[in-house]
Amino acid sequence: MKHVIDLTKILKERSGTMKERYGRRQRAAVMAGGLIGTCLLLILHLLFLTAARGAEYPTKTIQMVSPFPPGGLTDIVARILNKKLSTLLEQPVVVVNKAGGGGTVGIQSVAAAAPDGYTILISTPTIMISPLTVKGLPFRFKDFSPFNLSTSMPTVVSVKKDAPWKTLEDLIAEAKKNPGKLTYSSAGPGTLPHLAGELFKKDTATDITHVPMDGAAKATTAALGGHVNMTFIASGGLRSYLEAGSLRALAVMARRRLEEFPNVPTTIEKGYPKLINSAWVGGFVLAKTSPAIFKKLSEVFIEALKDKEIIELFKKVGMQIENLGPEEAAKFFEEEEERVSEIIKIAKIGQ
Amino acid sequence: MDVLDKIGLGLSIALTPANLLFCFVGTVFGTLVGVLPGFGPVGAFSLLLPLTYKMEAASAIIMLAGVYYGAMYGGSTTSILVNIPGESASIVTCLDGYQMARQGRAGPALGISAFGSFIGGTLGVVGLMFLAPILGQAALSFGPPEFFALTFLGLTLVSYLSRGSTIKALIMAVLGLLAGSIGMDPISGVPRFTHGSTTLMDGVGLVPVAIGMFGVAEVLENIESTTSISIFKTKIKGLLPNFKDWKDSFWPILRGTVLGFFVGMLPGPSGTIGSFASYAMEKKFSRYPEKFGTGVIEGVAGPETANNAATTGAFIPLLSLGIPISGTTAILLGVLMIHGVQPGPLFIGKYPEIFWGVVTSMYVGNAMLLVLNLPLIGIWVKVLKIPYFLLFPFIFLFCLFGVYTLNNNLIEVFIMLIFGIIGFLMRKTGFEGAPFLMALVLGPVMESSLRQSLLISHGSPTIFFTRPISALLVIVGLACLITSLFPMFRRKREDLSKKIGDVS
Amino acid sequence: MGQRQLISSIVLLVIAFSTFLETSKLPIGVPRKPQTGFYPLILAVLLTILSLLLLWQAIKEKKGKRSTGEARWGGLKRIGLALGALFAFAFLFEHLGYVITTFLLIAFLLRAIEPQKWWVVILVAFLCSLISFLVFGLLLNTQLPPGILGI
Repeated sequence: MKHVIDLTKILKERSGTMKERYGRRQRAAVMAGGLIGTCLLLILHLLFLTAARGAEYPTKTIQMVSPFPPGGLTDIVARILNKKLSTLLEQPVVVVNKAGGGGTVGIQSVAAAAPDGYTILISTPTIMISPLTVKGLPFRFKDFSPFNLSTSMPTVVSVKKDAPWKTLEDLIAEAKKNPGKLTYSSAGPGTLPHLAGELFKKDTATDITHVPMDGAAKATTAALGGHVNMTFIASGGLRSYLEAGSLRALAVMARRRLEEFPNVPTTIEKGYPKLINSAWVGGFVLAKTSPAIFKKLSEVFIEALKDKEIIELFKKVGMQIENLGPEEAAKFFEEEEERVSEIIKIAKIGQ
Repeated sequence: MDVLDKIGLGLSIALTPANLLFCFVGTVFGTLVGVLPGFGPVGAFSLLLPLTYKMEAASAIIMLAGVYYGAMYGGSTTSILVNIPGESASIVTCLDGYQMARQGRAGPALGISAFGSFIGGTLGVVGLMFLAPILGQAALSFGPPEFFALTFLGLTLVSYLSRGSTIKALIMAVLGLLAGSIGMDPISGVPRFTHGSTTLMDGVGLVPVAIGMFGVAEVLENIESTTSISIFKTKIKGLLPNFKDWKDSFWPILRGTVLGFFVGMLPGPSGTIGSFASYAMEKKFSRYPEKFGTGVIEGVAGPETANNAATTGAFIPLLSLGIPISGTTAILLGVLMIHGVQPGPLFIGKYPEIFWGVVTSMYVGNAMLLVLNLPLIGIWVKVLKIPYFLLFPFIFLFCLFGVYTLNNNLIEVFIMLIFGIIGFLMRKTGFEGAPFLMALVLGPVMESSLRQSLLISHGSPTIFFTRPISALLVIVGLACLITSLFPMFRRKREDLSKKIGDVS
Repeated sequence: MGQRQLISSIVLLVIAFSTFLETSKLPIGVPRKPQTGFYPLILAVLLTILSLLLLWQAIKEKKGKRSTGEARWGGLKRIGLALGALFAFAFLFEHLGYVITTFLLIAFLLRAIEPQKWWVVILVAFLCSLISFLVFGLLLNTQLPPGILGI
């Protein structure tokens, strides 16, 4: 550091002598020359950049926006996929985390980006739910086209390990006897567990009180500690507790039973055919993107999700691979959207 | 003893050359990351994540854990040197640490910070080893009413963070609470005060506000007069803490360890809360509380120890129950899951190698960090000798980059600048930033916990008093509130007479 | 100090008032079942009370000394320049790229606040850009905007 101070002293002296030796005009000329030179370089560089376009998609790095902080379950999907995608597309696919607003900040950034296929989005149901529950959001679900429905995790109705209800019927019976008394935790207003809870209320005709917590982890903890009576969390986050027995699963809100917990009945078996809810993860681009690019992305995703290693990784994390291409995904989302908007209206979420 | 066997198992894993290397890489990276304001462990994790795929689960966690507690070592560096908190848990270190630096005592400040961090971290690991399973269960008994009581208690201590007028501190706290309410209402989802901005939906972030209010404002104040005044006394009084420093810091360090460790287990920004609480505690127990804020070493020793103990404490819910209490621990959870390891209540029993391997590597890591950071003190102190006219643009750059790299969000940079202006104005009018920040951190938790509790109790406020833990905390909080308001009436008269003679 | 306190308490009252305005648009609820606007409303009330107390204090000591205004104007100009540079940095950051904006910012600050010799300015600005490029761009591989030169 002493050297830095000496250096500055030397520079101060030198510049003094410089001022004496060369006149003002000459120094100005040098600076002007430098500026012009830099400008020329800039212009040349820009010209070269524009010349590079025109080749086939993709010709440069693709940004895969993950609207959640790194390490969460959604983010994991992006990170498991992006290396394989880079290989398949022969261009780097980089995961960019843009967390905030429960996912809305990241989604909005993609909505505002150019529809050139270089900014793609990995998202959870937030993209469908939040425009309906949050006033003033600058995007709608239909601004985006899903090119793949990648994974899903069904919601599980669970209670604390020593809760007095051993089956779904017990729970529903108690809820009917004491309207408004039982409580359930969710990950927050407008999140999937909240929707699941309201769906439960409607389909089973019970009145349970919603206690919004801040995130799925806190919702799970609230149920574990018995601070609320039940919770509706996606299966991936619950596996370890179900295994350890700290939580008891009463039903799975899906069409098929869970592979790892085959003893847990589905809500359909219990007589509630419409009571399904799952946390899905899908890939989206802006609807205005060209069909050729859209097709390329959907093909690449379908192939990536068939990769053995990737299937293994998803299994480890507890996610079911859906791998639905654009047409099937579109159908799925149509049904989802209907269900979701109905529940939002009935439960008056966001008003 | 059974535990000794397990420690042996752990050491056999932690001391393999590969894991030693990973530990070293993690801790060095963590220190670097901690020094950079804004860019915290989360950012570092996302960089290292791809590397961890090919590693074994234990190695991955060893490295990432190193980054996590390493950041707590580095975070205090910029707090002390340039009044910019490197981590939100180091905000409190700015209060006295920076003043010590201005008095030429940056060396002892950095030194006691390093030693305190070491002691807090190491003792915390001991606690982790023996108490993990029990404490994990205890953490579950904290529900919304307990969180409300805890944050309420924390807020009543706000007046301890300020040196000057109590009214102004209270005003700052209320403003902090208001700022904390900006964003999506955590219970109903309705946006408050956001004016349509999606960035604000998450509220004003703590990091942009802290860096703006402390860092940017500080530089603005310094360059206002003239940059040739040496901001830092050039005569450096020693590089390491002297005997008196150690004597003064002894109890703060011990108290900080215990406090930090237990607070660290609680969800939320536990490192930040732990360090704030330690500062308030030290001020309360001190024989000269009015000197806090002028460069008192207890104000550095306690909080720095506490935040390291807290990071260790944060591992308890993660390892014993599989519950992440913050974004950082959530990533560690994700890493475990990618490796096919299921964190949860059965974790310690099912994967003893990972648990004990990670825990013993924490000893190693803390030792490495101490050895690393001590020589660095000499270098850091020399940095302060750079003339301010060269230093200050670099400090600004630091702040700008730090905030931007947090979320790649330019709006947060603007928030930082706005709070820089606000912080500057605050300094000119005698308002302090620490109560504001504390309220900003605690406020949202307090409000959501209150409303959640009322939902659970179906509207009855007696829930706070029928549950033992929350009842205790609420009563202590009320007591603190009343005792701190009382002297306010007496002090107001003193303040008035002081101000007439004041020429600030 | 008295005058500044007067101004600050008035500013605070304005803040409290605007909070009242905003919360009036939100549902308030009742103490047993508080809704969105309840909490900010209580805070606005508290703020009003405290600001009034502060105002009272300020009025009482308006007869106190005023702070020296000499160095004030020169100082304000510097602050203004510095802030202007910082805001300009933020605006240009994503367009020009982080390396160029860094260079411009450092050069400007070194020149405008307390003018240094051109050699010093260029050298230090260049070094800062280089260091930030190395540290943030290469070493940390953070996602900083490349800007028009692709760096």
